[in-house]
Amino acid sequence: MGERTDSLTVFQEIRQLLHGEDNPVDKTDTGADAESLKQISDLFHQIKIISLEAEDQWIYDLAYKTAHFIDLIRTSGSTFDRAKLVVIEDCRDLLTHYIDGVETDPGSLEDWYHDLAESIRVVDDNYMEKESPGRYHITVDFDIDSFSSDFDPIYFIEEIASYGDLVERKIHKEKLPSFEELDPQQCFVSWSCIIDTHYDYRVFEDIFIKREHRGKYSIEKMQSIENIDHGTIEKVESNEENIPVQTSPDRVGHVHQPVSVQTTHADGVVVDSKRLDELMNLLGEIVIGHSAINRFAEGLDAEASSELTNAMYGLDRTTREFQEQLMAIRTVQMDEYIEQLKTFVKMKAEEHGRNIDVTVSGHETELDRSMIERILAPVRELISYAVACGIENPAERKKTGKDETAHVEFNAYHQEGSVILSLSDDGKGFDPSELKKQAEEAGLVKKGEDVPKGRLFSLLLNGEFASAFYREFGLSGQHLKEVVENLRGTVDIESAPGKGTTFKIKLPLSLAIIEGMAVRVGEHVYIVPLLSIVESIQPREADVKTIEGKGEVIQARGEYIALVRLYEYYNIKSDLTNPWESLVVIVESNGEKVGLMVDDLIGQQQTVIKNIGSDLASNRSISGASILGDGRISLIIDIHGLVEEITV
Amino acid sequence: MSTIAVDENISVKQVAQFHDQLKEEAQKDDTITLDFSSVRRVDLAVIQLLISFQQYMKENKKAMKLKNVSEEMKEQLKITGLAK
Repeated sequence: MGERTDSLTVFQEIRQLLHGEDNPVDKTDTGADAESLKQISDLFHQIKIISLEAEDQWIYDLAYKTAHFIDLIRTSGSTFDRAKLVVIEDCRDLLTHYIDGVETDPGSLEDWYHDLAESIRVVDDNYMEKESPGRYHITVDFDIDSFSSDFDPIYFIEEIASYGDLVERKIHKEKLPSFEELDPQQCFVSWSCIIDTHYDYRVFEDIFIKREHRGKYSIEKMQSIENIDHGTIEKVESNEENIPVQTSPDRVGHVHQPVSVQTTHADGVVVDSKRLDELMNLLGEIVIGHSAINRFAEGLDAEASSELTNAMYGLDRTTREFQEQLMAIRTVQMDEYIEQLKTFVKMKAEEHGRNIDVTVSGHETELDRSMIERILAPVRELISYAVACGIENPAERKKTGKDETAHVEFNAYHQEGSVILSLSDDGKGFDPSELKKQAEEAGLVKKGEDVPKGRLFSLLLNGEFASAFYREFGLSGQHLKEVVENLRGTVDIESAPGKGTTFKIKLPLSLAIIEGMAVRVGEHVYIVPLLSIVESIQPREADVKTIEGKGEVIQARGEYIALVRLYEYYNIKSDLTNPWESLVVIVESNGEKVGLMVDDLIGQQQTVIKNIGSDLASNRSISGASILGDGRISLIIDIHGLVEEITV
Repeated sequence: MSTIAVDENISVKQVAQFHDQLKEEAQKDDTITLDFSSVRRVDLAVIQLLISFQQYMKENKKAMKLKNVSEEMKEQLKITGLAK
């Protein structure tokens, strides 16, 4: 969260904008037209600009996110419903709390901010209405003690109903005791419905997750509405379960006839993603068991070992196929998301008066859905920056001899077991010599130090540095880096002044199992993610040197690479202490190469990632743990964390 | 025929007391009308009690009616499938 400044007048001005008599938020209700939404959007844009005077990045970020959220609703023509109005009101309240200093505990505001940012992201990414509606069958079971929760279960029902037209709905009362025996403070009913909606099914899933639903639920996609034989839908004349409600002259309402769908065939089942995670975990256990048997085979005599190994070969193939199938369930094609980004670029271009030609490719590339969703928000931030500041306006472009129409390219493809998302523009680009000067000024590199370009560009991913020297770029890079590193991926930036910039995001195919190289240091085994490994070498004695300012290095292919003695770094015992007797695994992060000195390479293996305790989790050079075939724990090295720790 | 004016704050907190009141009234009368004119909306505990009470009355050849139901509550009954 940004630091409070003493610019009280700026805060007062923001407060006046948010709560003055003419503030557009209070005047807005669900179903607001584009003009009203534009007024709210203008308000938050204004706050964003004012916040720059107070140098308050936090207000800037929230105002920016809110304005962007409203713009998306406005330009997509999506319905402005209660859920979206609540998000906007919440943004206003959070800003008010912040500038009033109402909350004394900054942590609670931080949580609020993150919840809100998540709400915006979710609506932003997933809920934009699609052209053709879908039909879902939703059932909700409530726990018997649901009434004791702060959240009345009827809100689930109301919230679900608010996202579409209920074709059928029913309270299930099979478990309801007789009236005389009923304990009315316990819940015995459940509810189901068939709903036609323009929204994605995730809108429903999120209701249950966000509201921490106590009980079971299922969301089942039904045959699309267009394909349903309307002859099979007939109106129910009366429902004996209906409670008779007398209408009085002052309380007459519009009442829909309930409709019953007799033949709808589900063409798929929506499964809670937690179940897929559980399946993946179980598969992980199989992989671990598999390694254990392989290890056992090594201890047998040659003939028995060979027989067992052969038998295991078939099992190994099936396990891998099982993993691929399981991963395929979680993966989705990028097409819809790529088109969303394309539309977003065009929208931003129009907003900032740029002529931009967008080229996209890789629609068929598949990636884990949760990864795509997490990566979209920071990618959008990058696009916003690129269009607003990175790309020149047509007149400027003409002056520098460029085509007046700028080009933005978004590409997604598979490469060596990972997925690459690349975003390029032919705008102003970043000047590495300028970056170097600023990095020296900021004390991030030593004067006169030979710094690889990749490392200089990676400074843009350092929020503090970027906010100081590239104010408009601000925290965009840091956000991207945080999300990508969380997904165990990498970000590379290539740029040339006057020619443009390319962000290359490399992500693993799965979050639960990675391809790793097991290495041994003394009695310990570490896993190095294969994605980060460049090569493994055994250096000659003459290639190991100590250079002033750089420490111990090895010379490999004409380059000096910093050497990390893992046994010293982790303070453990190793068998070998001379680099020329050991092996060196060269890894790369953000253009910076580092050599990890190890006793031995055990081999490439599928690594099931297990979470680690909070003490270890705070160590930036460890990203998780894995269980080896013999039951031992091995730590997974976080190459980005390690490289950053030793280079800073 | 008796009419019960339902308390404006009826919710899970008062539902046990409401349950007792309904049990008592059901012994006295064949048709019971619940007047919701002070009530804007109800929670699921109240709806569950209404379902149970209606079933009971029907089984005993009696009738339960609701009157002066607010638009919001009517909508609640509608989406739960209890009213047309």
